[in-house]
Amino acid sequence: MSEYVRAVLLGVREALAGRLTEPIQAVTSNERGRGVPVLDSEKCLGCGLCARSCPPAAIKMRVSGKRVVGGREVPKQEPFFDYHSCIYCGMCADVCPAKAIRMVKASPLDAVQGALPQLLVIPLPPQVTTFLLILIAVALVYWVSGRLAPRGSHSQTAREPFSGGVPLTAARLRYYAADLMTFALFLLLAEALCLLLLLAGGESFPFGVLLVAALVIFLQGLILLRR
Amino acid sequence: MPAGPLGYRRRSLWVYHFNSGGCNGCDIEFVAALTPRYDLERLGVQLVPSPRHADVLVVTGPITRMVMDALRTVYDQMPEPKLVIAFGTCACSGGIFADCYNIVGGADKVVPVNVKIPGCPARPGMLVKVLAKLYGVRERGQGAG
Amino acid sequence: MGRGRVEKEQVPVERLRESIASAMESGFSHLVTITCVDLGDGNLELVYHLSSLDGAVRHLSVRVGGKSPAVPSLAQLLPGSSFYERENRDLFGVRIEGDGSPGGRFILPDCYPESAPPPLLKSVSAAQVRELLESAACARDSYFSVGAPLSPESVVVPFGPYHPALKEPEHIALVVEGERIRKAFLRIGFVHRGIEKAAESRTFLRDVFLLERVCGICSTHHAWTFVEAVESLLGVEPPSRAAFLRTLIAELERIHSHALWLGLVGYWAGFETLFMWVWGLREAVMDILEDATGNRVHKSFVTIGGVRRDIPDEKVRGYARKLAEVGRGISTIMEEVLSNDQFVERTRGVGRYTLEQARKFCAVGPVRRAAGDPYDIRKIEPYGAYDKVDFPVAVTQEGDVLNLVKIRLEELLTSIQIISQLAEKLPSGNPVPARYFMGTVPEGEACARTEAPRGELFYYVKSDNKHNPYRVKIRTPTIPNIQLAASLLEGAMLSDLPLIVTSIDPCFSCMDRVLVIRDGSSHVLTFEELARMRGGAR
Repeated sequence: MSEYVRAVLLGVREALAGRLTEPIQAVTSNERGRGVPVLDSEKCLGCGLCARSCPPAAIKMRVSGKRVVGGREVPKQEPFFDYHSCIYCGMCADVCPAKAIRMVKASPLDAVQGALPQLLVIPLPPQVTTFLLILIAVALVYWVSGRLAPRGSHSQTAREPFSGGVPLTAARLRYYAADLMTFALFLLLAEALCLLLLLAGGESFPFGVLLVAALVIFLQGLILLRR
Repeated sequence: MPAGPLGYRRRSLWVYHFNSGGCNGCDIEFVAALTPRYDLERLGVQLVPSPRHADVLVVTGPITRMVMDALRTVYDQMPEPKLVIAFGTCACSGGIFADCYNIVGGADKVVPVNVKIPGCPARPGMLVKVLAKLYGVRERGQGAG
Repeated sequence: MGRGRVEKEQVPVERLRESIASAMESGFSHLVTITCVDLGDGNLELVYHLSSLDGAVRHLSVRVGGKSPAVPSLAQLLPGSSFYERENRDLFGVRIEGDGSPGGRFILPDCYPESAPPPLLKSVSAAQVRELLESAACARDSYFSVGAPLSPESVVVPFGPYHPALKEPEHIALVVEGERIRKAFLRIGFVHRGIEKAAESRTFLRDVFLLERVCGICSTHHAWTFVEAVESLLGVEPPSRAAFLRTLIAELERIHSHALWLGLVGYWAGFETLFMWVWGLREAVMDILEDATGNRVHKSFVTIGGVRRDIPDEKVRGYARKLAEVGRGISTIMEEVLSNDQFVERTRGVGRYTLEQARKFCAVGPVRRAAGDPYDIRKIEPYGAYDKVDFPVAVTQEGDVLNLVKIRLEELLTSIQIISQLAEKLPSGNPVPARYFMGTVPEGEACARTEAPRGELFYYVKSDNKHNPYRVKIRTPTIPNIQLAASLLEGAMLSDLPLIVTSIDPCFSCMDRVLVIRDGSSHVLTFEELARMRGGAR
């Protein structure tokens, strides 16, 4: 018994202890780590010590312009960092005699241009709108077919589409197959058209246009069902 | 059609982890991304045991000669549409082992890579960031929360 | 001594077995490893490092040469030596006589031709090996094959190299009968990167970074052991504050590694909640590591002559306080878990082994201590600041998964106490060397040992007055332990396999600098054949 009590107490304590999960913004920042090496070209001497000390040999010295040494112009070399090979150890910053490399507290992803795919966010039209749209479409279909259903002797409007005006009892639900088929096809058509419009248009189709399109479909349906 | 290869699946990406011969640093950071603090599952991301269920292949470690073939096989087994993320400096380019004799190189020598996340090891937050961007989380706000 | 310059005793090849046997009789019963060095003049030197249980070490050296050098095998005497011998056979071409071990590749891909020069010889360059591996002679699909012999009565379950229960690629061909494993054939080498060869072509300083990345979980221990060996060669003693700080980071690494393992045991036992809990608490430790050293995993903290940056005293005390909370959290959880019948029944008696088995395979680390031997390098051969702090060594009397869980939990909590002692006793001074070491190291050979989270980690470094080391030999704790695990698999249930393999806390990336095991006595299936049998599609 006591173990259950202990377990329950542990659960309560954990529940009150606050959550371990950090919000996404906190998780993706890089405050404490060593960061990314960044060159300050002004201070760089072009000595190449960083390239020689780099453990994965991710620094290559490249010629980048000229500088004057002893009255003559000589090509100036500068380190070029390959951020995909860099292990972010900070040796280059430590050994640089001119302190031209500093470790910036950014994440390696920020250092690499175009690391993220270009296909980023294309937001969908919100689910709520889509849902309401289809709901209204189905309700309209339902109502319209109720209006159009054959009137029976017992009521002015049909309670169920296609039941011929006969009151609904479990024993006597009869569906007229042909009308059911028409209904089903026409509903499918309506849904399919809505979906196609959503897929094709995405956010560029405002809600109103989609609603109008749905109404047009139903009007066509009305014409189809007119007998 | 929404742009991008993942279509609607990006709201619940299933991830398969492939350790291609690394030191385990990036593997442990990847597994740490699934643990409570980073919690990839809030984005609908799930670790799956089979590549046939996966949308995203996360490769860690430099590709050694013995796993090269397995990597290609696993990649081929994944159904379309699929993404490959090279997690860690070694998977991006071979890293500090690039000139070792049993290493082929980075993951892009064997399979086409969509996203490269450098870092030694790459931080779990970076994986969360990439997957969050793919999911559609804007800079403010948390998406599904 | 185990640390410092190596003093070798020369032994002629014919008398190798007797010398080893007599050394073992006289107390040096633990074979640390067999180092092979290419002397450059056509001869190979094999150094057998034997350790006693209280820290004394002897190094016996034999020289072999000629076209096909061979040494007698020690496998009858000490089954745990077989991996070391096969490694040398693969990498150096040293034949092993009389051990009955299967032929075939151990760590290198299967297709690496037998006639090709072994990779680690001085006359062979890494580029040459690479070319050979890329050539047509080494076709894809022939890199490895299922190693178990087939017969109509046996069912072979190939486990790996990629499997949901595996975090790292390795291949075990299991011959099963119903749910029982009859025999396990282990094939490794998937994580083999060729680091020992690469270490010879980089300067000592760059090597510290390379060797740190042998393993992500015990990276500081790799760097530290290497640096200890190099400092012995240089005759340099780091400042005592540096020794304390190194010890601090090493203990933090032990805490994070054991917490990681506890989570993984939960995961493989089906207890995912434990995994999530423990890893959630472990993040606090990772934050401390990041704050102290700048990176969560590869801390790059140790350098030749000291450490790379100083940590103020206040911060160290803050860490000790934070860790006390972490310790309380983890011990609360583990108390619940260990009093839970289901967990206990799942782990008690699984992968059981005796002290004799552990000694036979030269197991190290918690695996050895679970069986009864208090073999902890921190106590028997103190390095860093371990002689200035007081801590118990956790030992149980019989090895099984439950005892391993208890021991690693004890060690985790002990590490937290060690850190609080370190925080009080931290000496002052400057632990950062004035400049990075970029010079040459005088000629000599040295070795060093530390107690990595998984066990005894051994480095042998030979230098010859150049900027690069002549030879670096690494013996990681997983090699002897995995031999023990492979023998434990026989007779175990198939469903206990992940637990047994995980119980030794394997780190294949540490181990795989070269390895392969195969029984070559029967028909071996290639991948192609397997695919054909399965109906073609992969």
